[in-house]
This record gives sequence, structure tokens and C-alpha cells, in this order.
Amino acid sequence: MANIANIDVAGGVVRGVRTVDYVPEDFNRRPPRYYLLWLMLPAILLLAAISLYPLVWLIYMSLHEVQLAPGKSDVWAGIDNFSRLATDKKFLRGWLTLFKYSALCLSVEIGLGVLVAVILNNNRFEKILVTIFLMPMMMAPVIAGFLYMFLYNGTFGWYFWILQSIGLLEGGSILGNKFWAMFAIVATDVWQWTPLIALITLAGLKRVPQDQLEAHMVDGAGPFRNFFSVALPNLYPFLLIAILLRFMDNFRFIDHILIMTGGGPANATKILPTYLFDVSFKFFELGRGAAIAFTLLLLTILLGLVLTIVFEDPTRKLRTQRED
Amino acid sequence: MATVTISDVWKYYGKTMAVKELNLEIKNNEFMCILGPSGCGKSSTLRMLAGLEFISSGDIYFDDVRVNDLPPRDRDIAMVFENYALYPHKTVYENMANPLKLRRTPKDEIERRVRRAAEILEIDPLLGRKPVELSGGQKQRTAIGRAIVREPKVFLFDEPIAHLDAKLRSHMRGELKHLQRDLETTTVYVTHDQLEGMSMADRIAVMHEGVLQQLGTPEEIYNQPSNEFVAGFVGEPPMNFLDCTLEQTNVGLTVVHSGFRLALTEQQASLLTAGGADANVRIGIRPDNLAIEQGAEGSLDVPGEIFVIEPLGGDMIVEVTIGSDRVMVKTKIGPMGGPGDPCRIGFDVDKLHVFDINTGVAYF
Repeated sequence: MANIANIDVAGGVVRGVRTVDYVPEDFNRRPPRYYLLWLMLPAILLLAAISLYPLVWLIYMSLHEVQLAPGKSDVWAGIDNFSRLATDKKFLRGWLTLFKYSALCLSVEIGLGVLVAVILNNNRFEKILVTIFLMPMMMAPVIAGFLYMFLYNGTFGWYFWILQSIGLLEGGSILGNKFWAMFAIVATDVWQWTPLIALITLAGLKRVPQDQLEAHMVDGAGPFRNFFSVALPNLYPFLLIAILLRFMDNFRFIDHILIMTGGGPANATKILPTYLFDVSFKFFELGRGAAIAFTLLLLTILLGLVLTIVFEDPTRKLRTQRED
Repeated sequence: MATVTISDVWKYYGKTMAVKELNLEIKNNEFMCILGPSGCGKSSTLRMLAGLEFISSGDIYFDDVRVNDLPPRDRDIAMVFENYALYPHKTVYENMANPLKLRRTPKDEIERRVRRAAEILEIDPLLGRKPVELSGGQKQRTAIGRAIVREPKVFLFDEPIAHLDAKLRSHMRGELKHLQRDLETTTVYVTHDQLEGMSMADRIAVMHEGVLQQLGTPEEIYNQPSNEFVAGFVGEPPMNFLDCTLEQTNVGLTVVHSGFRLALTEQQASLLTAGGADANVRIGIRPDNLAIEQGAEGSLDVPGEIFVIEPLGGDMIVEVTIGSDRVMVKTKIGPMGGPGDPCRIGFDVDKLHVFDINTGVAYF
């Protein structure tokens, strides 16, 4: 303590007497930077081990022709792996299919998730319904894939039977149909991940100020108007997080597709991650696979950034200012 | 511009009773204040008027129309909320324009009305701002602005100025009263602050534990409280209550306390007899109706001992020990001695109130 004085009192020293101009500067001073570094070091090391090291390897692999046979060393390939992608039709189609798949999943999941959340909110059986509703999310994606594969099965699948009974399907198979296969895998994703969106939205709905809803009702709004004009703007940040989570997840998620279609029929469901899986782990062209993975990584980060910047809540900046 | 009739209204939340058998008629263009401590059912009553809360039983009429089953938007009301309830993503202008927009008013008409309301409330320079950029007082004005842009049948105020600081609050009391007179609209104003009720309302309905205690003009509520609760709730500093016994003496009916004896007037005595008063009663007297004199010798009747003196600038409140009880006396500031000093107290017997000791009901 800088300002604690030692004062002589009758020959003895009295310690710890504060002088008048005492300022507790030690409490207010910012700790030096190296101190913060020490605090963050464990996290940085962990992150480096699980994330940075593979990333460096990924970049290394994408610049080489990786040899699998023991003893053979990798051959430097420069940007060959990347430049070849430009003319790879399957690669380009993979992107298109991925965007289609992601857009379908997101729009259905957001719409349905918000609807479910609104229905659940303040429902008499809210707690039990939420618990039941979260079950699909708890299931391993591979199991969900198998479950839906069986449901779509042309011999004993319930969904197949239902679709056939109401005349939507004439015969053949769902997963083997170029048109239906995409919707089939989207439906699986929707089934498994809508609960997540509903859960996030439900948390958001709890934070919508009741008095604003009431004021809006007194102003002359009906329930629909009330939802769109007051609840939805308040839900904005929550929906943004939900969209971001699901969008990034969609860009790496292949469990259902691998189980159900493997990318078929005729590449109708071959989204880029599936193609990446084929290249790397079926054809074992690890260098090329790494190049595809790297572009996927870059675009995911880029789109994520764009999403947060473009859709940033316009009132957030104002809201972070302290209210009086 | 409507009369509001609340007829036999009950409100339950689950098994908890919030409002019990409420009957209240609010006249056209009247400023009615519902006054009571928190949890007395006043907000529930207002919310039932607004249509934000179901009515458990009973009816509410606006003029002759039963509104029980009408949603808020069809009741033609405007409400100001305790926390203002402004829409954070809308500007002051958009906030105020909202009720008109939702009712499909033409654009130029909206513009005209919002500007006029903003002028009345002196917030026209703020129309482009968002609520977070406003001070508490400005937010409150915006909320009022949103209510007055329309010409609703009824204004509902739910403690609109409770969160302002004391100075602004006393300013807004006058403003609101003036505004209501200007707009000539039936108004129901809910508050726990007796000062707001006393200063603004045409009539006050005092509620306690879901039950209407008394309905009357501020003057009636103050001077003729119907029971001990109303007497104690209204007035600052609160009324003094003393437990006494009644004795018949040669000067008539007398109130006997361990510190003093007070002869009642003949009229008071007959009221007590007519009411069938018990020998044990509780008397109440406002601090303003007690006189105080410094020193042990003096012209006033009751000897006491000063407990503490609270100067308030122009006035002071002296707490005095009389017998086994303590009373507050409000008087002009002046030399009074200090704690422990003797003094003498005089009762204004005409202003005395007597309550039943068990039920709290006032005899007068």
C-alpha cells in the first residue's frame, strides 16, 4: 500500500495508519499484460493442441500430394490441389447442393422452431413438453440417420407407407428418388435440430418484456401483430445465434447423409462435406481432400462473419449504452 | 369520454383473492384515483379495466357496453404503464404514432396529432430519438404522449410517475392534472402514493387487501376516514392512534388514557352511543390537530415529554411521549428544547376520530 505511513508515536512505531490523501490505487490499477497472458496460457495451449495443430497440418497437406504408403515422403504440389478444384464439376455441384440443403434446413427449422416455441411458451404443460421435445436432440445423429432410413424404407417404412397411402408417392423408393431424397434428408435434419431452435427461441421469448406486449395490445394490436411487431424484434439476437449455430453445423454435418444416401442418388444429396469425405476417405486423395476442407473452412468463417455483420441487431449499440 | 361501471367484480389468481366484490362507478370525465398499498388489488382492477386480465366474476361496463369479453384493442382505452413500456427499436415519434398506425389513421393525420401531443408534452425536439437516449422524465412523457394521441374513452394510469425522482414527480403531478382537465377524458389512476391521490383526483377509492375501503373526494377521505386503515394510510405524517377507554363522567362521555382525559362533545358522545361503542376504543388524531407548548407549565392540558424533534424547514415534527404512548405533533418551527424536556400537548377535540378497537370501523 503506497500511502500507508509509519508514524512515530512515543518512541514506538504504529503501522498501518492511513494518511489523509489515501487513494486505493492498487485496486484501480489495471494488471499488466503479462499477467493476463499467464491467466490465458492454459486455454491458449489447449486451443493450440486441439485446433491450431490440425489447422497447420491441414494447410501442409493441402499443399502436398500426400503419400499413404509407409516410408514414402509427401511430394510438394504447390497450389495444384486448389487450382484443380476450379474445374472439378463435382466440387462445384457440391457447393450448390450444400447451399440448397442448408437453406432448406434453416428456413424450415427457424419457422417451425419459432412456431413451436410460441406454442410452448407459457403452456400449462410447458416443462414436460420441452423435455419430450428435446429428445431428438439427445439422439446420436447416426442413430437418427438409421431411424429415418428405416422409416423411408420401401418395404416396411412408415413414412413410405403414409406417403403412398395419401397418394403422394407412386412406388419406387424415397431415398432412391432424385427429387425426394433431398427432402428426406432435410426432414431428418429438421426433426433432429428444430428442438434446438425452439429451445433458444423459448429462452428469448421469456425475455420479451411483458409490459411492451401489453402496451401494444392496448395500442390496438391483435395477437399476430403483437408477435411480429414486439416479440420478434426482441427475439432478434436469439434468432441470430440460432441461425449461426445451425448454419455452421449444416456446413460440416454429414452423419445423416452418409447413413441414408451416401450422397446419392446420382449425387442429388452430395453436399460438399460428403464429397470431401469421398475424396479423402474413399479415394484417399488426402492432399486434395485437405484443399477442399480448407475452402470449406474459409467460406464457413467468411459467411459466419457476414451473417453477424449484416444482421447485427441495430438497436444493440444503443442498448449497450447504460440506461439512466 | 365515458362512464365506467365496475359491478360486483371479483378477481382470483388461482386460489389467491386479489379483488373482492368491487363496486365502483366512475363518472364521465372524472379523475378517479385507486389508492392502496402494494398487493391491495388496485393494479388488478386497472388491468381488468384494460382487458389485460380476465375478470373472475362480475361485469365491467363502459357507458352501457359490457366489455368483459372485449380484447384491449376493442375497448378504446389508452394506458400508461409503470415502466413506460416504450418500444426500444422505435423512435419517440414511432412510439407515439403506433396506436394511430395500428388503427389505420391517414399519414398526415398521424403526423398532425403526434406533433400536437409532443408540443403539449414539450418533447417535440426529441421525436427522432430512441427510448434508450431519453431520461426517465422524457420516457414518461413519451408514454403519456402515446396515450393522448388518440382520443380514447378512458385513460388508465398504472403508477406512471412512481419511478421519477421526487422533484420531477411533484412537477408531473401538476402537469398530469392539468392535462386531464384539458383533455376532458375519464381517467383511472392507480397509485400507492397518497400524495398523488390527494393532489390530483376528483375522487379516491382506497383499497386494502382486495376490498374497497372508502370512496370519496380527497377532502372526505382525509377528514372523514371510514376506518382505521384509511385514516392511517392517508396523510403524512400518519395519524396518531391511541388505545383508550370510555368513561361516563359529570362532563359527559370522556376518553381516558394513561396520560390524559378528554371530554367529548355531545355530538360525538351521541354518535358513539348510536354506534354501540365498547368501553375500549382507539382514538386517532392527525399530527396537525395537536398543539404543543414548551415547558412543564402552560395553558395546554396534557403533560408530555419530548422524545425527538425532526425539523422540516418551515415545520417540524415533534415526537412526544404521553403516558405509555408516543404521538407525533406537527407544528411551526421554533424553540422547543430537546429530547427529555417537558412539554404540554393540546388536543383539538373536534378533529378527533374514534375507531372500534377490533374492527377498525370509524364511529366518527
